[in-house]
Amino acid sequence: MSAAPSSPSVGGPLSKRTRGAILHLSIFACSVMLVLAAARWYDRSDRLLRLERTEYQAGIPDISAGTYLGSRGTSLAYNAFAYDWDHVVDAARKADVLFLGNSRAVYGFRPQYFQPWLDKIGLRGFNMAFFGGGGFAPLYVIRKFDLHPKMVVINDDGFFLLRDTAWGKAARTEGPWRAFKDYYSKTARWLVQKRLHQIVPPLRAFTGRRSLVVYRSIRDGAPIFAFGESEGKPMTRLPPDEPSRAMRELVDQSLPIVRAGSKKFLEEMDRRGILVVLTAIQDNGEFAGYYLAKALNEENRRIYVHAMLPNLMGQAGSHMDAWSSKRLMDDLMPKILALPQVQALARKPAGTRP
Amino acid sequence: MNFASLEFGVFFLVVLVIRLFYRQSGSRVFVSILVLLSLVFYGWEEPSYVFLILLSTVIDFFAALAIEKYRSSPRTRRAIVTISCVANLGLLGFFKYTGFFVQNLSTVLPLEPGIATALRGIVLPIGISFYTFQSMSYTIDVYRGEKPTRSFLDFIFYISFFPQLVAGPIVRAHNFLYQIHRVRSIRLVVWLEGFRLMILGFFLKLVVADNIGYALSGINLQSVGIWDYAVQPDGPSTLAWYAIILFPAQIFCDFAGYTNIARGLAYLLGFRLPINFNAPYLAGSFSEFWHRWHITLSTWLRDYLYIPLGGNRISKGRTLVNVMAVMLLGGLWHGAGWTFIVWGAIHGTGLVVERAAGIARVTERWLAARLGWFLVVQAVVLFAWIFFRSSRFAEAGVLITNAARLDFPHIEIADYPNLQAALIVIWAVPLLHLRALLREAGGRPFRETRIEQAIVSGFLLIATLSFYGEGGEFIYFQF
Repeated sequence: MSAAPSSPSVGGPLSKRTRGAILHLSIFACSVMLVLAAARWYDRSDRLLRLERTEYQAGIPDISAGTYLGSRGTSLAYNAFAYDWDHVVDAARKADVLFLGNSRAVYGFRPQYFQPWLDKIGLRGFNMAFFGGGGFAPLYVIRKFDLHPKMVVINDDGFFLLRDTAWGKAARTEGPWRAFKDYYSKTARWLVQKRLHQIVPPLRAFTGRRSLVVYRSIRDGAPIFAFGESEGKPMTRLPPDEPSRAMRELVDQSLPIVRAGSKKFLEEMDRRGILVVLTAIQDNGEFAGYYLAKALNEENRRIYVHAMLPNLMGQAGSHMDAWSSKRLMDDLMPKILALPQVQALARKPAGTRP
Repeated sequence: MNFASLEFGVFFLVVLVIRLFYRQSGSRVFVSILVLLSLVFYGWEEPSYVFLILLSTVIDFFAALAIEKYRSSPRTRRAIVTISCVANLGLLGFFKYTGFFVQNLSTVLPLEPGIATALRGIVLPIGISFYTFQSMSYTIDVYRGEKPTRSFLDFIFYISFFPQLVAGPIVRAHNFLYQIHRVRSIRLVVWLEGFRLMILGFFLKLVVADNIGYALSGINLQSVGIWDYAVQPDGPSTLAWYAIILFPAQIFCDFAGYTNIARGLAYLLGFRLPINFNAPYLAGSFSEFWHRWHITLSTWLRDYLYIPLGGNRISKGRTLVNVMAVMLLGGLWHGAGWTFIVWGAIHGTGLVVERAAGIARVTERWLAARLGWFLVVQAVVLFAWIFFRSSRFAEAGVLITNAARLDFPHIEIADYPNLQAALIVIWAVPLLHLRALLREAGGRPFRETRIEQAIVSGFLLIATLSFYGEGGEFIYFQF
């Protein structure tokens, strides 16, 4: 290993060490170029390495196209709010109905299917569900930007757990500086990756499962799938009327936590005069969220609309596809619109909002 | 600021341009600029933390000068060094151990819930364990007779030098201060060595540690990884064993990767930082493990804790007690939790058994004994990592139970995020150790020539750009 230099370099012909170093550098450059050349050659002869099969082809969000980056396994969507991204906040502020929940709600409550129903009573909706669950983020966003929708429709699938998800934690602890850094550094990173992988193939993208790249519409929060999520699985199961013993124990354990979370959230909604409509949509698992929501609502006595449908189709895991979302909305929205409290909201002029 | 981030890429380019501008570095301007950049580097995540490091620096700088001034008065000197140590340990204790203390206290003594929550919520400033130890060692060295520096600029540079600021290596003042004002011209061989170390470091961190980290813990707090499945009651042994094997590789590559990047950066700036890792999983004894793993911490603990406690000078029994005490505190240094203390206790027990039973005498004589003890040591090291990684004893217990059941149902590797990539990149760890083994044995083929080094670096660079994982924080930032 070379020692750190202790004397200034001397002029004249190159020393033996410097010549060795130049050789080192040349060989290094040749190795790099050789590997790159081999990769490009392989790229031409085999489709395996073609760039368009990787997530980087999805690019970065194009604001002019009316979208923002929803999820790439990151908290960008949260930071779009935290950094006060005007477009997103404006759309959320103008909405009469906010749809809240976890990623299942992002996929299930698709604006193209709920908005035609809302149009019937002259309301405008916005899907403000977050990937990774609710946690503190929705409550934080509603308070921070002083949102006053007329109604919130919540996929109560652990929504009131108010647990420390990455977003929830960030919502409570991140200041503008951190949110700014996080948002722009992640966007810049992706831009660099996209350019980089036009030269060096992203080999890791070919191991395991593909990443997911989802944009969200600035206008209504609709998910737009830029990459990934192509293997659908049927979501055939429905929750049994009575939960298993293990599930009941789990619900009993979780109740005190959600009780506190729901109290905090519902009090804020009541204070703002926002109508709360609860539901729980398909999760293709053990339906823990569904049973928990039911048990909690036996205490809270809020409006709860049953929305479990048989034979839906998953886009990936427990995320339903567009066809299933349409079926869900066609089932759920008429039930919501039929509620007298919602009918009353429809008659309420927009100017009456606080 | 994280080395594995785009911000650091920009920061690094700025530093390189400045270094090229100050080719004959050693001037006060160059040092001042580096101090400023180091503080930006440190305060990037949380600007207010800069005040903490300044506080620690000011205390020790003036404490050292005061010790020098009262050199002839042992009582005053002792009082000053005590104040310095209390202040440093107080800072460390407040930020790192208050939550732990309150959590344990609240189990026996009811505390006002608001106060308990606030105290538990104290955020640990990154790197505080490293720079307080570094700062403290300076004052203690001056107390022991070394000359203090009279330049505050030099001292703050020593403490805040950004390559080693947040995760070591822990540098001693006498190994660093003399380097500051040497005239250092830019030499190609030194720069190549610097870049070579950085490429190796980034490969270990971004390719090996990050890919394994993704498989083990998921990409962020919302997702789950092998570890989460492995600590589920009645989970399959296959996953438990994957977790047991993957974590030691991750932590080694994460930390050794950081150290290599730090050393490479220091070379580019014209400084030398000490080696911190030397193929730890080749260690044939517990004592050797600590000569190969986090070397600067183990020598720090030896010089400033073990020897002041009496070392091996008092009695055999006292030596064993000292060893155990040092390892328990070493465990606690890593994190405020009982699992870290148990991790230290396991290593302490290994060292005590090794010394008490005189195992070195046996292993020196017989190859079979050496091989046998090597396997025991490495098995215990792997076992100890389970506690290091677990957040609770129950978690470690479930993992050990699952692993001990030895049922190996078939699992579909593709079902677990990034496991496939992790099982590819983990081979870098045995290869790195094999290379070290052959080098130590004097094997010619693995003492690379310059050309071989260049080829390897070229491949590592491409591998890094092509196979990097999702960049996470360095594990040791949290300590």
